[in-house]
Amino acid sequence: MGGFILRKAGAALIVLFLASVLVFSGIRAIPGDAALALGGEERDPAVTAQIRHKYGLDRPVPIQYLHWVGLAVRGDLGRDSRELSVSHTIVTRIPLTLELAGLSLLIGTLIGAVAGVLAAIRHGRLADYLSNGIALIGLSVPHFWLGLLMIIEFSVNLHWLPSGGYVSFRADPIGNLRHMAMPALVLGTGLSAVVMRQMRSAMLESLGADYVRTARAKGLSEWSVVCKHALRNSLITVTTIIGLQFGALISGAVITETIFGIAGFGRLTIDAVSQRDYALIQGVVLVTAAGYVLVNLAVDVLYSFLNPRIRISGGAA
Amino acid sequence: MSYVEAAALSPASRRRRLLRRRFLRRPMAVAGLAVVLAFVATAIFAPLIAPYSPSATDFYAVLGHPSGKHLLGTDELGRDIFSRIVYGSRASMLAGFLATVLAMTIAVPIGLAAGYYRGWIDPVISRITDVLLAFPFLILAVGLAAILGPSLLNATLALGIGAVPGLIRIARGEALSLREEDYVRAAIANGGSDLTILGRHILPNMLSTLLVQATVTIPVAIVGEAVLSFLGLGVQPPTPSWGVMLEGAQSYLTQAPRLAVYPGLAIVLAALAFNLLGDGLRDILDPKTQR
Amino acid sequence: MPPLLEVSELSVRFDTDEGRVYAVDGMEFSLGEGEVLGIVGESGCGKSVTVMSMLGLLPPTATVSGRVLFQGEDLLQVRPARLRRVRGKEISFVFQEPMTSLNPVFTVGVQIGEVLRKHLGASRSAARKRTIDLLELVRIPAPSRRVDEYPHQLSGGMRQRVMIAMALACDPKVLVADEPTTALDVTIQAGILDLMRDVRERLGTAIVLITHNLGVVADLADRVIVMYAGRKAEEAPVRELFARPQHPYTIGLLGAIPRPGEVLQGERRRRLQEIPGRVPSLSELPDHCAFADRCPRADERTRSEIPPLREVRADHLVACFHPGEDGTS
Repeated sequence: MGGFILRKAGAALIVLFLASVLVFSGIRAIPGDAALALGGEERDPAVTAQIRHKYGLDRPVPIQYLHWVGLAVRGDLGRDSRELSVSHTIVTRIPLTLELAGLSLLIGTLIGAVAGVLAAIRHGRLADYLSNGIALIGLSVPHFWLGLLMIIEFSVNLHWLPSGGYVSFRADPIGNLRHMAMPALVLGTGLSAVVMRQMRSAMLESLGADYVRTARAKGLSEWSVVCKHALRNSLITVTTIIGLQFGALISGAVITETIFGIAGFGRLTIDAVSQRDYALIQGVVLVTAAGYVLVNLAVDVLYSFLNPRIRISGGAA
Repeated sequence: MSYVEAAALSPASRRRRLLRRRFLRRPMAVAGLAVVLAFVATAIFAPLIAPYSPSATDFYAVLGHPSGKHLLGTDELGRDIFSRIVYGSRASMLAGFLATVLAMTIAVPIGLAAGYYRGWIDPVISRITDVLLAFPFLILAVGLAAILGPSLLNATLALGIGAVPGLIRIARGEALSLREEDYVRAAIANGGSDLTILGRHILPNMLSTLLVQATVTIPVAIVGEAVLSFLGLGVQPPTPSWGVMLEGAQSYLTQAPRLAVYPGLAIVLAALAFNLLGDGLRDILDPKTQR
Repeated sequence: MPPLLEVSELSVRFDTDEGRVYAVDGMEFSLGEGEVLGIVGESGCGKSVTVMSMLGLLPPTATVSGRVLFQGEDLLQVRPARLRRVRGKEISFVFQEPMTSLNPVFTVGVQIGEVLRKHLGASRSAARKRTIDLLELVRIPAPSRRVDEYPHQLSGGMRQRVMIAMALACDPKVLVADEPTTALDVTIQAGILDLMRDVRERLGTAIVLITHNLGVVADLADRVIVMYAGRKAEEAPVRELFARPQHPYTIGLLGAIPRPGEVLQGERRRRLQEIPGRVPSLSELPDHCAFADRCPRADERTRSEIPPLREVRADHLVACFHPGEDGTS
């Protein structure tokens, strides 16, 4: 297992390195002078030169990169166009998005996994068609539209939930959950559809496997056959899928936070792009890539734990 | 079909016949195909179908309820919502098909090369794919739209590029496993050129997988176009697009919630139709699901 | 004394996308205590489906009819809970693919212990102790270490021994072995067959042995059934069948076995025979003798009626209008 994790960690480092190069050069690939871009509306040559010097743009590009990475590793992502620390801005925005993503992940995997298992054991019957149909609709409904519909129903018509905004959990736990309910549901719905379909096909495959026939021939109850023998194997495949959903989750968070006026990391991304605040864009994208790499590394660790063929290598493996 | 009749057919046409029979036995897939064709026809013949011009304003009927005159009512400028949805299908279909074609054109050759040649090229391409997957497609699209400027074409470009890494993975995996098939090994052993082997043995056998992937990429792009237009990064108003209409509807959620309902329904219906079709195709083409 | 297991009029039908497929049609056989019954036939002739259908192990697309009397109880009529108490305890299975028949995510000990805990209510520690004994019984070296290993750490032959240990865990009355050696190397096969013979002699377990290999049957079985296209073609005690095969299909099968002694004898050299034609697809089973198209003895009657089973010699049943050893009919 150690070797597997080390290999994955190595690959993660490479991805992170390439991503940082991409982010770094992406900013420099923007048409026009990066110093002008970083300087915003300022066009005074003296100021531009000053910016050029301050960002080290008068030095060779590899040195600039190393300098930038060196600072980034120490948690310094530079200053945005309003001279605010990018790292600080990101750190204050991330908890909101983490809460949103965590709640949606919970909703999505719970609903998705249960529905997927049910659909697989009722394969070809009403429950299967029904959950499959609902999942397909779930995949086809855009987040932002679902968000609008929920606002119309639960905020405008029924006045049950606030249509937007955020209060911290520590200040007002109930209020926090009331604000988070709709966004988390919106984001969780799309995820549950994906998880459901993956779980269904993984379970169908497991249920058709020879070892499940063996389990049945042993006289085990249907519950043991499904929830022990088939599910344990299906979980191995489904965990890897959840890692790949990170990107979709962030994309979804961008939209959801926009609709519900939550000042989280997703909203920050849109703002950074629409204000063309390049230092901020750089920081946000780098953090996203690092998040993706970390999540997938965690998934790999979980995967190797669930899969004894990797946890214990030996024999004919 | 009698036994003798079946035997008289060539294997290829027998297979086609079988696939058609399997497809027709899936009512949801057939319904999906019908709705897809209807949307494509709507996009092409929009001027013939829409009762009004999408930009014709009727100030006597601002935010009007559905009526005989305006099937789905009117918006804040008194424009006919039904006509705008009809014209809006053009942006959706264009973005859906073009982005998918673009993504396929880029991804398939790269995936083929990685899966077929392996060697140093495969890890390099796989690593790059991993890196691209690390950037959520929406951030990629938003970034591209910000750099290139907002327009339908740029949004489509961004959506197409966003779909590339995932498709590379699929094409690579497919090429990798096909390369191990006996008939491909035999062709290699017989000294067939790479181009012949890729073109005659590997690509044709990937087609059904690619067709299914294309069918499920289109709805992603359709929804993506709506998202980007909604965020102001795609189609620019007053040109009608479902995303643009929803953006406009946001200000009237209390007065006229139906403004937010109809364009959304159009998106769901179109995406659902493609997804149903894709699922049906997957069922009939993928031998793994024929238990 | 009534037989332990008595199967009659067993038919299995599958409903697929391409229409109905008949896998087994009117199968019947019986099995006495401690008896070894061989069922032989080409792949796809319905031999596996026959035994799987007895314990309801087929997918839901299968429709099974007929009677499967086990100690006087019809297994096709009992409730699922009762069926689960028979499976693995009274009648247990060894499958063809040792590589995929064990669950990759559980240790050998967990998978064998599961049977003991379920059927005998054994405690965790008792199950473990008995599992080690069972591994020893099937001659797995270092059983107290192997018990904690995962299937991927074992070779194919070892895995099949684990399957056999699992099948024997509750001292079943009947052991169904579905091609137990087919997936293994020849050298490993002999060890597994030895083990099966041992099981029968030491534990007195009745065995249904399914195989396409007549050599294995000759080695182990008391009685043999030859199946063709979902129906029984011939049934006889093993010596009788090998000495006086009556059905042209059986004769063909025997002819397809190389006999080393004869190959060397110069003038009487016999070519290894193959049976001409192909097995009919089960969706197009004819209402006449299914072997007719491949049979040298076929005539008008063979092509218009299904031949019933007849007892042509003592304990020797044949479904053929023109039975007899080669050259005698």
